[in-house]
Amino acid sequence: MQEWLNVALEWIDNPIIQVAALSFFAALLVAKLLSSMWLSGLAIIAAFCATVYMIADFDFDSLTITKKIIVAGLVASLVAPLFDLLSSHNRLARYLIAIACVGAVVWVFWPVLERKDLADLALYGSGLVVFIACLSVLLDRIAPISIRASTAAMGLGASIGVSALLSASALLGQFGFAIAMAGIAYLLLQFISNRLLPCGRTFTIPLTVLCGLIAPAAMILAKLPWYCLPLFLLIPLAAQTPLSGNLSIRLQTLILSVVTIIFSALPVLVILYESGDLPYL
Amino acid sequence: MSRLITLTLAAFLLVSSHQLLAAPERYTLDPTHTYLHFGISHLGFSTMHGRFDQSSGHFMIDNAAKTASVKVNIESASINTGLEKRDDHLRSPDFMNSVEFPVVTYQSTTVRFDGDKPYVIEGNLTLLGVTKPVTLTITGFKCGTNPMNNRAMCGMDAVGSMKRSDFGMTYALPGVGDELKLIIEAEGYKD
Repeated sequence: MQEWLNVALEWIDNPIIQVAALSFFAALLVAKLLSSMWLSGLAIIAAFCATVYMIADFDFDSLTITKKIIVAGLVASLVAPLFDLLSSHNRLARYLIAIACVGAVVWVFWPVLERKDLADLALYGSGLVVFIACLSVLLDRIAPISIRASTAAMGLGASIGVSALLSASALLGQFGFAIAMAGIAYLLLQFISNRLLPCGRTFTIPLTVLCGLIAPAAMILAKLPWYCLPLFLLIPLAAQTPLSGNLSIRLQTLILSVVTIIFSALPVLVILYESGDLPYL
Repeated sequence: MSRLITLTLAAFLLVSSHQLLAAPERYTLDPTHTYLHFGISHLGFSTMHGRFDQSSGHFMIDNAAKTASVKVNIESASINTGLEKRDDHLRSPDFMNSVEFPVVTYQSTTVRFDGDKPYVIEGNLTLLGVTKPVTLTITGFKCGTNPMNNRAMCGMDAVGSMKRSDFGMTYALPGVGDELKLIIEAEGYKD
């Protein structure tokens, strides 16, 4: 018993756990308080901002790639509710969002991409564009269904977070964990109340932008293997697993969480298999 | 008349040779004997040391005018603490962000002399896209001929310090210390 208590205390003392816990509570609070205004999707950015406040800062004097990711996440959170207000879930809006995400990826990574030779520029550039465009379309398809969107957030955040951590960047890893915490907070509220929370593009646009930029940043700036990017795309696909409409919200939450977590583990297992060891952090 | 011409010529040669000797001399840094070492507190328990393995640059020195200048480029990805996994983490965006900022530069603004030797270098360090002043104190300076290859060279040791947070490197503060102790060994061959 004492041993278990010591392990628990060690976990509580770990700064990574503390930051993740703060992100979780920030997301929980925002999702609950803003649900009546149909803005509970802002839980994503609340969790992310809590993490940025704890481990980085909001100083944008030197606009590095990491800072650009923060800016892009904030802008996406401001723009996303407008999409929910002004447009129904039509295809035109979906393509507009995908194009905007592609613009974001080019803006964020161009300073590094432009230094590469033409072949590498084409390879990396097209890879990043395809990744974020696919992620955008896949997440937009599940935007109206809050259980699916939040399980995708949990899975993507956890998978990108652990993968980035294993790829030698704790900063990007913790950004990923913040998204996972928002997804878990969202799922928890739905599980407890057995009711769906309002979600929409207010939730999925910041989710797309943040995951679509953090994962490539871990690849370009740290040591994330390129083949993890297509594996990340399986997570929102897993969140679309067909389920019977007769199942309760609680049961749907459980089933989708398990399926998504299984797919989230794939990139992590591949990295562990490749490196054969844990990183130094 | 011929005596006057000879004297004038001799005087001209004397002045010319003095000017030649007093001209600023340019030295190119020898990368195999030029390293920036650093020390940083690890959780307050001990000071971890490392160095950057690759650098390039040059310095100019004018002993007569007592002026000098230095410019050094350091490859940020060449950070070496003796443990590859830790070095990978130090190269990541958490610390050096080596892919985005592959080079750290130091450019002197003023070099102060004590007698005929430089003893303080004031300059600007550019790290992570941020430029801040950093002052180095020269603890040893010598010019002469390298007995191994008979080439003219100068060498120096210098120390300094800087705060990484001044350059936006804030990850893991305050556990991993803010202040870095800098220890520099540099040698350069005359061009």
